[in-house]
Amino acid sequence: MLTKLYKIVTSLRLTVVLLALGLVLVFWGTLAQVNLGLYRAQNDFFRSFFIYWAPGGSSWRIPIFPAGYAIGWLLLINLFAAHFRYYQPGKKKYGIAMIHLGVVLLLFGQLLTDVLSTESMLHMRHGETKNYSEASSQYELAVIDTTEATTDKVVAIPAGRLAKLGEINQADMPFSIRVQTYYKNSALVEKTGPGYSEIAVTAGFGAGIWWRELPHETVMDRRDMPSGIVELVTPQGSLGTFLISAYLTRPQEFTHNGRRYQLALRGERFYKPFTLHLLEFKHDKYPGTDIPKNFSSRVRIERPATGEKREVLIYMNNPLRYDGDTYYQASFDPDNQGTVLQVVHNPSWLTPYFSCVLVGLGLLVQFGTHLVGFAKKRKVA
Amino acid sequence: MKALLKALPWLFLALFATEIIVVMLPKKDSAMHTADFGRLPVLLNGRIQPFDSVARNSLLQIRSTGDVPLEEVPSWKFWHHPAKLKSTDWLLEVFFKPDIADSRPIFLIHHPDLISELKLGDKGVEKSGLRYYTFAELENRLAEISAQARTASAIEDANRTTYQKQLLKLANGLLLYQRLKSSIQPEDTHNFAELLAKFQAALPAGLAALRAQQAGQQFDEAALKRFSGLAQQFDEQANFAYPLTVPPTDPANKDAWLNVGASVLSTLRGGGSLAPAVSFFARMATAYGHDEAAEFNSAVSGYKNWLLTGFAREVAKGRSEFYFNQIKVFLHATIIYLVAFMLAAGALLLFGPAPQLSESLRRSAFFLIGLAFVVHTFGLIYRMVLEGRPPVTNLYSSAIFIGWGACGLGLVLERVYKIGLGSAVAGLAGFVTLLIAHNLALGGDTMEMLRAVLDTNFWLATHVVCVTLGYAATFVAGTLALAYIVLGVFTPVLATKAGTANLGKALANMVYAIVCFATLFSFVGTVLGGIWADQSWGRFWGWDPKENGALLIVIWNALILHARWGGLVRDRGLMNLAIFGNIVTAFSWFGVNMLGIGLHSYGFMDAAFKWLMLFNGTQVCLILLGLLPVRRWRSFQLVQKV
Amino acid sequence: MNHDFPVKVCVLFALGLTGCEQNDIKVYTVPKEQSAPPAMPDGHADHAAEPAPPKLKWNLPAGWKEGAPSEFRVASFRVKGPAGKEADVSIVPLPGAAGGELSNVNRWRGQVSQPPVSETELKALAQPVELAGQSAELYEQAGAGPNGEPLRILAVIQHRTGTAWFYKMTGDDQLVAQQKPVFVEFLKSLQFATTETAPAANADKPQWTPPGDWTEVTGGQFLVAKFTIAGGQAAVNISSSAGDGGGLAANVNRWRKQLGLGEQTSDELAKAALTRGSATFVEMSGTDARSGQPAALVGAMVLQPGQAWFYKLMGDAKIVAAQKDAFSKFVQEAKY
Repeated sequence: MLTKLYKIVTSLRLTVVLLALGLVLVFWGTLAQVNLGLYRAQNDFFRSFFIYWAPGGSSWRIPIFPAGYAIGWLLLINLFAAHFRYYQPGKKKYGIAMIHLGVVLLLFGQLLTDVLSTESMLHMRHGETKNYSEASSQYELAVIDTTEATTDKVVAIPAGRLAKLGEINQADMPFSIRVQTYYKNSALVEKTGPGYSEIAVTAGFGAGIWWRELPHETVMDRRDMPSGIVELVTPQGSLGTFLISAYLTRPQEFTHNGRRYQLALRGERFYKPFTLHLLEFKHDKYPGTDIPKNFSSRVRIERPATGEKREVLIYMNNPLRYDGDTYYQASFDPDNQGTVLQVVHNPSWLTPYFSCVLVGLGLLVQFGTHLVGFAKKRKVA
Repeated sequence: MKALLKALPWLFLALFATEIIVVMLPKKDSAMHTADFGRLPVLLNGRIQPFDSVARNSLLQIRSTGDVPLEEVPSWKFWHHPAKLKSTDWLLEVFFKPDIADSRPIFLIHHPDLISELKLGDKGVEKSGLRYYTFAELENRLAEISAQARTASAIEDANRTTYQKQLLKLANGLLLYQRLKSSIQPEDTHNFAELLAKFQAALPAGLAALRAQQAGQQFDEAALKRFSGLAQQFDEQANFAYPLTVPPTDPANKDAWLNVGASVLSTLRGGGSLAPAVSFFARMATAYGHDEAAEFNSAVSGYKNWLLTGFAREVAKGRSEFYFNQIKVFLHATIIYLVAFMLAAGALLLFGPAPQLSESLRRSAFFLIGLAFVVHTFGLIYRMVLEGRPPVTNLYSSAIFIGWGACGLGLVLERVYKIGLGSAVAGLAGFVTLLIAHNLALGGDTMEMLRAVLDTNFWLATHVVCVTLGYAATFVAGTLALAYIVLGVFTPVLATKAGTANLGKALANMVYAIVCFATLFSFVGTVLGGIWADQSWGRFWGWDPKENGALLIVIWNALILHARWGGLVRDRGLMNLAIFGNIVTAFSWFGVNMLGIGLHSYGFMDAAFKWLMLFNGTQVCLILLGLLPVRRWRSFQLVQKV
Repeated sequence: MNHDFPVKVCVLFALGLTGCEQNDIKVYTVPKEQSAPPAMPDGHADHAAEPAPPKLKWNLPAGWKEGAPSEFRVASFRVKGPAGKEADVSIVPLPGAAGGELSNVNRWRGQVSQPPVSETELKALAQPVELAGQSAELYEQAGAGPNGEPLRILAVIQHRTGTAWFYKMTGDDQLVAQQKPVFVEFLKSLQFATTETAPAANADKPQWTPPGDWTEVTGGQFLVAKFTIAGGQAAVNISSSAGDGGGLAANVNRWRKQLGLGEQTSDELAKAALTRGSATFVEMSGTDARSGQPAALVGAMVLQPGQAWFYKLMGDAKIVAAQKDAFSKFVQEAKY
């Protein structure tokens, strides 16, 4: 039984089957982007173990096809196992070994990237200084104690926790947050329309606003705008129910026990131990046209802890790598007075570079030896 | 007979080489030095190009041809070259003899509903089944056309009907034509030089009156009126002209080209004199309008000499691009590829029955492929130099490059195997890809500037070239596999001896080698693409459709290799897998662009979609053919009998 | 065979499976954020997309607490009554007619479990009040709220230059009834500040005769009028400001920015401007900053005592060129 399993796991037949499944998956996942949007298709098809099917809107989810993680892991196992089975040291096999090591490194690096990397955005107006970036698709509910003169104390609750509803307690908050409703995507209006209901809140900005839940946004450049209702509860009683929404750009304020607080549903923030200051944003065009030639941001980095202070130029195809993060020129304000940098934290960013070199060399060695052998054979013939 | 067979390849080579040389020799200009005018540089689409490129690309967009045929010749009379209005000559008419230009049938309308809607049934000229209309015929339908075009343009591209698409194309063509008409002189000008003189004369008094009026003082109303009437014409021109024709007067700011209207109006601000270019253009306009060849020639050469003092590079660029437009290298390469393919196919079919003739045809095909490859390479490098870029920058150039890569691989195969298959594949691939490129060129300028993120020669030279070579190799493998199946099922050729093994075995070896080659390039290319993405927007892999397309090719090639190593497929299976590789590659090359999403998308192309589906259909049919049991294959029946 | 192979696989799996969503609450202290420098300098009257709401002034009644304005509200107040009872006051401007009186009143009636009324009954319900120097109607409804609590809503809708302004007090029945005189007094105290950038809200439309092929449409919140031409390929926007509206140069440069052009000095501008009748005209062409399409613009400014009028014809170059004369006639013939 075990030997049979071992044979299957190590067989080239399994490799071919997995590659074929991978082909179908990638093709299907590409087509699915038209309806699901890039982000959702990525999660459903590539960043999960199975593709699920929910018959007729029921809550059942039936796995119908292996997704990216399943195929990726099986390929990795198959690769490793087949190697142990077939590998014999020798000149002829160096190429194959290099190729497969490179592929393993690539797959593994991508799995690590999926697990470990975070992406966020840093928007700066001309002359602005910032020490944090904000995620564009991950939200958090920030409860900020603004009582102190120079610092704010932030309790940040990720949206995933809000979506589970129920009560949230945190030692640093003198009240608990009871999530009554949470829509991952929503629309807010001031007057009613079909499908809208009036928001019932007792405090903050929400009164007189109507809302409705929206399906997940699939259009590439748009994002979900979550909203919800939370109640702040103290042992002495309720502080009221509040609307929290990504539509509200200003935090809502309230006081409790003589301390001032702010409440805001915002993109998840990542604070840095240094500041970035936008000195200049440039948007070059080809002469006589509106075709963009280059976008660049001149930025000053200041790090109080080390006294570091320097200027850098970030432009297309030339990101800034600093402190484990990479800053890319991603977008800009329509008036050309502000820049948007994409901030990526990806500890495994170097793996594709190694993998590319390994596989490329491996393929050259492998096919090169084939070719030389072939040429020799022909000469003899 | 033997001598003739021996000489035949050389005869073919000499014939086509002579043609190419004749084409490439410098031509004499006509009495009116219109070619010299066509070489003059202008700024359009963000790049310096000659007037001729403006003319050619406009005509391609409007009429889908690079010049305007002047007489109707039935297509079977292929030896008869119809008289043609060359692109530059057409542009000169549009600029300086608008009445004649208005009477040229250049607007193609072939949707019957559109023709009847515009009540054009009794008008227009028919050429090879297509109806062409003149601007004069369409002029009083302009309001209706633009009203309908507005409705159509409000609809999303993917949802437009054929009628609406045609209408929009017509409306865009009409707009482009009208913009060209007022690009040098304001519309309805008969003597441009005189108009400019009038404007300059009216300028001082007009400006003075204007200032006085603004200061609330007494002013000369007549002078102001005269002046502003003239200024208005140039103002309209400044808003409407198409290419930027007037080089900057400040040599420090090399990019600040203006159109004629804007340049004339700029004299208001500076109070200075007219830009020299405008005066030269005025002389050309008046001379051309009055058919004064000597004056026109002197104005053109005068302008060129003036340009040479500060814009020598631009003049040189105009001259070389003009030459490139004239020689039409890719057209000639296409013809040679086709002839070579037919010769190679003949060689393959006569392999058994007439070996000597077959060998002669094979050598002819090989020679011609060699010649075509040289011509193709020349065109490719010329384009690279003109653009200052690696070979592949857009879909058009990817077609050119895939053809080139496939042809190169075919040549190598032919050198090694000498059975005509390499030449046949090279000829077919070269012909088809250049045909695709020709159709892609109808969209307009093929040397357009690259948007910011693509503006990097390093990645274009590495990632794009590798991936495109991967495409080319996969196509070559697929085409060889097609040959295997067609020849195997319908002819006994596969069973014939070729070197140490039979032809079928040799083909299998070829396909295997090419798949290895394809794997190497598509894998390295794809990973390089990921690294580029990591450099430019921070993620190695984003499951973007174009990336997925490249990945599909890698996976498929890897699958073929593993299936073969694992003994899951033999020669026939390998061939069927390789043909499916054609479908995968076609999806990656064109299909993903039709999804209309993703960072790489070039736009939706529905005509291309039809062709893609047709292509996929034929490939599937051939795979089915390949699945026929061996006893039905003519090649293998023989083997069994022997 | 390698013995620790299964172990390796298990480790790999464990790594892969930890990639679940992280729901950990973070707690951290950060220095207070510096206030951002002035944002978009481009925020004048005809930018309906991002209007800066006109400033309102009021006398804050005793016992009312001002809340921060929100996305929708230009002002917000809380009133606390005895025994934890509360009422909320809001002022919300909405573009257009915002559904009209009847539907809004019936919506409020629905909130307090009252049956809807007809148009004639509505008239009977209206109570006249004075609002910022103008007369207005107040609607009062009381009943059971969503959870059965006694609720009272006082609401006034006022239409000013294409905008419906909602003034609303909602809250505990008794508290709101008791606060009603305060609310009425508060409405009377309201004043629309005529700052330099705010449109003069009490400006009526001048009399004009638009050409036949212009279509009047509801403009943005701060437009006096808006016409579209040729199915929206070009549009005429008309706005007005108190005083000189910032002067010609500021406005022309604002227009230039919309076409992606650089600023002009007032000297350059004076050369480019043409005066016809009481109007000063400028023309420019460039690229519509919002659509990215080539566009032309003809702008005109008319100075009236204490008030500046801005006319803007913008859109597709060919259409703008064709409409220029009609536009110029339209501007010069407008009677103020």
